[in-house]
Amino acid sequence: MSQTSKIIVSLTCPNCGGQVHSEEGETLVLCKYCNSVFSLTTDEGIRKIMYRLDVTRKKAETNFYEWLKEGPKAKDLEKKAQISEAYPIYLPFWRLVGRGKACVCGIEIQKGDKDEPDRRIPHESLVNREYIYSDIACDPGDLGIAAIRIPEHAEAVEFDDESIVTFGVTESRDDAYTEGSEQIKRQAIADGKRSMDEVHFSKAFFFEKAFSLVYYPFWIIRYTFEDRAYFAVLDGITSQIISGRAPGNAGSQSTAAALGGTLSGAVLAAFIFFGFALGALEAIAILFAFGLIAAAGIIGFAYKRFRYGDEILEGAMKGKGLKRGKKQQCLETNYENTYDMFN
Amino acid sequence: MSIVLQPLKCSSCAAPLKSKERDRMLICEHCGSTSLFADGKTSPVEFAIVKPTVEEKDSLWYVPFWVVNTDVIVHHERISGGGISRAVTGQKQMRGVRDFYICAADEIPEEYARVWNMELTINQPEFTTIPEFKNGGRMVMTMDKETAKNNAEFIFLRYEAEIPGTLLELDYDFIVKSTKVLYLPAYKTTNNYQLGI
Repeated sequence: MSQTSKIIVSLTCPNCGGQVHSEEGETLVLCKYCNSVFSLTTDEGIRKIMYRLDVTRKKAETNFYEWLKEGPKAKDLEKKAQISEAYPIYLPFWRLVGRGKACVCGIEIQKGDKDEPDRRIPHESLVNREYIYSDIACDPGDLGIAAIRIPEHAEAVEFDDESIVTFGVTESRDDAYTEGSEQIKRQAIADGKRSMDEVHFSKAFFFEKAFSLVYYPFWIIRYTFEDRAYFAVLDGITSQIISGRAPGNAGSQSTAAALGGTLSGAVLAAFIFFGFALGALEAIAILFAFGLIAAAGIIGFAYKRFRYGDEILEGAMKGKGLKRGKKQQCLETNYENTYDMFN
Repeated sequence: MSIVLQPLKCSSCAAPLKSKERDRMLICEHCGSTSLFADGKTSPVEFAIVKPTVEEKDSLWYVPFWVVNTDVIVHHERISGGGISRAVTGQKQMRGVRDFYICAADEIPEEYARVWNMELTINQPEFTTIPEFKNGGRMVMTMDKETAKNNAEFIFLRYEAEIPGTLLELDYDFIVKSTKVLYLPAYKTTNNYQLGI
């Protein structure tokens, strides 16, 4: 089963009572027992899918404590952190799967040497790929969750959305569909643009494969450290850390400040030294400039660690703090059946 | 939220429809007429079956195509190079009234479908129709009409981009005049498909 095609709930045939299976995105449903044909509709006009929570509380807590040990977090955090509550929750996401096709034409500009004029190279491209868009359909507050990636082994189950712990859907179906399909079209054009500096013509199409509201499980773990409250969000199927806040390491902050200042001075001095060793004025100037850039980079990195290192922000968290981990992407490309052309 | 399974009925005689395949073209066991499934309901549909002109030993299938009749009006186009190649190979831009052929069966792999779509659209074949699916099976139709229309427009752009020369600018109108369903014969071996016209 591919990431873009998931078997969803089993239904009961109204004609013979047999089990009817239906995949995400399908509206034409057959009963294999009595051969009856049905149109599948929902009373809210949107297909809802819920994925089973696979991760136990024990597994979630084990992974949580492992995460506390990672990166420049407070010393002995995994020993001193106290879990105040841990609970599973389902969050709603809009999920749109479809093919993006685009034709893009334009010019690549290659800078000419000294007296030579710039070279203008015409390009045309055709993009034909499958894209998967997902976007959180509720206001997740401070949880720092933006999108989902459904793992291969995820299992969809039948459910009643009034019986699960979740947040209310705040974005309309039509808005989500428009946003998703437009993002896929924009991405298809961006993928076709590639090396073009000027785009003179572009046209994109979106072909829907499936559109649904997906309820995806997470574990929320709230904990305290030195009387301050923090939290972490774990994927309820893979148990990976999705987002979270953790206290930073004061020692790491001061080390960053001290090492950053020393190292940047040393790098700049080394560049100047080599410049003088070469002798030529031009070489001194160039190496000095490179030295300045390198030193500024080191100072910038060290300052960031020093200034924001008192709190670690994992995933798509907003606010001040040292950002770590991957931010969930709303748009992914499925490269399995790609038919592109670049000239 | 509740999921509703609404039984589909024949658009001609209202008898309940039965099918073993997830086919948008549903044949009524009661009156024999064909209904097209789209937007959650069935509606009457006309289709034609094309007579094979090539004989093969392999199994014969009738593959559904959407034939999108369009008027392509290009207001402005700029191509860089390729003029001599186009003149030598006789490749002309697609203009005016034309049928675009869009394979509507998921069972046909994309690498075959995209070649067939382009070749049939360029060559505009003439054929003889037959009243029934003679000596062959009817392949399941999975594509809806709106998807076919957009695919037709993309084929036009694909053609303009694929012919010699680099397309730089294009301003056009793609006017869909009508659509119809056509079953074209194709021979299927284990790993290969070949059109039978």
